[in-house]
Amino acid sequence: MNKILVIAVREFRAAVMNKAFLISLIMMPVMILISTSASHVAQGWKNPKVRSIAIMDRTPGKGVDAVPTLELLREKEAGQAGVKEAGPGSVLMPGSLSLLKFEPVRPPTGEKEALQARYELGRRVATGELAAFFDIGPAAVEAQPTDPEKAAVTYYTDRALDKDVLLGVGVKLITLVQLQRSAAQNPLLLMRKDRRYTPEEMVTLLDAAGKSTGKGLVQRDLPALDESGQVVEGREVQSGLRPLVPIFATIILFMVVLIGASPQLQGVIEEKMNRIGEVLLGSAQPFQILAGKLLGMTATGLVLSMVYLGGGLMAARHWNLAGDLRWDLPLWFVVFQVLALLLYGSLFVAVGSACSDMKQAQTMLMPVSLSFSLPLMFLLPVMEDPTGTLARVASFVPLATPTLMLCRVAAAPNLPLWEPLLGAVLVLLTTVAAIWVAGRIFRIGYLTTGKAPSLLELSRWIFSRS
Amino acid sequence: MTHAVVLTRATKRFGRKVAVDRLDLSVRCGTITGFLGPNGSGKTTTLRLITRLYEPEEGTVEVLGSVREKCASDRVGYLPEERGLYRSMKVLDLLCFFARLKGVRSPEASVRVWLERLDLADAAGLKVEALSKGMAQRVQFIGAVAHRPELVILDEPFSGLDPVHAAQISDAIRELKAGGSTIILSTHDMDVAERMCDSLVLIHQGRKVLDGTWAEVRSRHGRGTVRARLGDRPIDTSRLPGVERCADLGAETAMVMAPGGDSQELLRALQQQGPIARFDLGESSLREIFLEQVGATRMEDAAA
Repeated sequence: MNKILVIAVREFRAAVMNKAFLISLIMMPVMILISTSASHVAQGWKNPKVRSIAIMDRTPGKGVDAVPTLELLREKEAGQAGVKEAGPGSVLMPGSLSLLKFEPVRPPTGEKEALQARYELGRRVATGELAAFFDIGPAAVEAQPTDPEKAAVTYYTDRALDKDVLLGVGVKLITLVQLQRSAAQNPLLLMRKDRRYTPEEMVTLLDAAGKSTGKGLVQRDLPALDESGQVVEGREVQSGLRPLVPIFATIILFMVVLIGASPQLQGVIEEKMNRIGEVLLGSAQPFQILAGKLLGMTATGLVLSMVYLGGGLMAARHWNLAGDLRWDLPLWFVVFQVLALLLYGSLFVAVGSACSDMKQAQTMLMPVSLSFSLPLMFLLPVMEDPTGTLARVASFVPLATPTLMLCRVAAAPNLPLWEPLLGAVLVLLTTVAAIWVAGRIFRIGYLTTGKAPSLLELSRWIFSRS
Repeated sequence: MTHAVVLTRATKRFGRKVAVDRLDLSVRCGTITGFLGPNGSGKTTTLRLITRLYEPEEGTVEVLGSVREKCASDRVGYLPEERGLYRSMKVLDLLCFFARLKGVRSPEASVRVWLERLDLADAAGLKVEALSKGMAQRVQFIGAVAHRPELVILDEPFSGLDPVHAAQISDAIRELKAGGSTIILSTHDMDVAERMCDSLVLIHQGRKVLDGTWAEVRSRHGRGTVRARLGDRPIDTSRLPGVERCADLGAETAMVMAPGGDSQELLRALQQQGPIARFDLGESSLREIFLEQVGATRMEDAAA
């Protein structure tokens, strides 16, 4: 045990007391901060040029009155923001109408003419004269259209993403069409010839629907019984924070394993190249060296976790969100973080000891990296339905358990205790097996140089006597 | 315990290649034993068997009285042929780490003594990457001996050292021996082996070709040359004991001794022929014996 500790202390000091560790410690939150605030900052760098959007309204009669309504909405938006004219340096939210102007297009008489008109509008988009154009189908305001294609609002653009047009114009157009469709059913408008809302009415309706005198939608935990048996209201949940918790916890776990375990691979290869392995094996058993390395790496990873976790909790307290975090989450986080570090650390060390240089290691590392990254693909579906079949099955696959089970624990407060416990036990058993395999590869591979072993050779290493 | 190391029919293979082939070997306690052999002869593999880096596929390896002890013993110090040092660690930290791995609880004082002794006191705070090759070699040597091991295995300890520091290491090795340690010294330098070693083992193609004390080796394998002249007549070379071949040099006769030939017996035989005017005995050097033995083994293998 003493030798394991001696090696663990050296590994920990080598990992923590260097510039690379400090840089990665600081850089990760900085990168997260930059990436999360980049889009907000980028809004300030928008091209201040006013762009034109054409709207072709093929609904019969007066049509939807989309262009005058959108212009009224733009004026209202400018008035509310206190900014009459958008200019360089003014920060605009996505979906803002401030830098858009609208051009009504006369409705063509037939489908063929409509297609020709759309083609010509498309040419104008391609030359940059128009930013995009919309086509409101002839049956868009019918209560029960026979052809859904003709009832659609279609958006034409040559850009991959244009939030202002998509959110600002597209979503509003859909709302206007829905309002006019409901107007046709409104008995109060029976006296009107066209049974349509005027632009002013639609702006008023939109305004009324958008404002709320109350608190709006409030999310709460389920009501429960207190100590005296009285029903008490569920705690109000910061709805914005709750989805962030599983994501934040899982991403930290992933990043810490990446920062903590990856250098082990490089370290073992360097030790092989510098022939330190021979000296170490002359002093300690392969298992002691491996265990020392894993212990040192786990301690390093936990330091990282504690720093990030502490930072996260401080941030939550700062924004008055700490009450929304459950006490058991940090506990489960530490459990799964340690297991993930040991599991993936042993696999990284096994790959490192089987290879003679980083080039060989990159090829052999592929399956380990894939098994590590793949669970992240399931993060969103697991978070949305943490007690569903997919979440349950995927979170019991040991290589995915640390990330997905942690995500489930964070996303579902009422998850039965046996599930994370069983998951932890399964990962623990897998970790023991992985350490055993890594130890077998390590004791031979650590002294072996030359080309990387084939799978057959690796299996021989694992099961050979010496 | 009279022997620090005993190998009995030890065999180690790498795939189809037999690196060590049924090797019988014993190293007496408190001696310096030289391991000799050409490159690829199996010396390093034998040393790795002794340090337990490898396990023999057949036979046994007994080290300091223990056969089955799996772990590398804290009583053994090992200086590998290729240097193994963490480049980013400071010299003192690194040596303390190595000593702690060998079970020394507070190694700093002993490490500092060794650093002082090998002119490395000023390098204690330097990173290994800042050391010259010779300095790194001495640091590695300290790493092998700072815990006062009973058995010290040194694979090419003088490589990269200037004569002054080589002499320092030689003195240190002798001092370790005087302190009761057993030393196994693998080297290509025949002069060092001849000068320092109490006994020698020559390994070639995984097999032991010769072993014994230097006197025994020379006695068994030395092929001395005698130059002799009788006072009143030529030497009759047809009845000379222990002589492999003769050459008439005119006034003198040169005689190459057969392996194991006794020069004193030859002297007596010549005296019986008449009064001796000259009798010069030339000794075989270890280098000559090494080359002859390795060459003979190669020829035997070629014939087989």
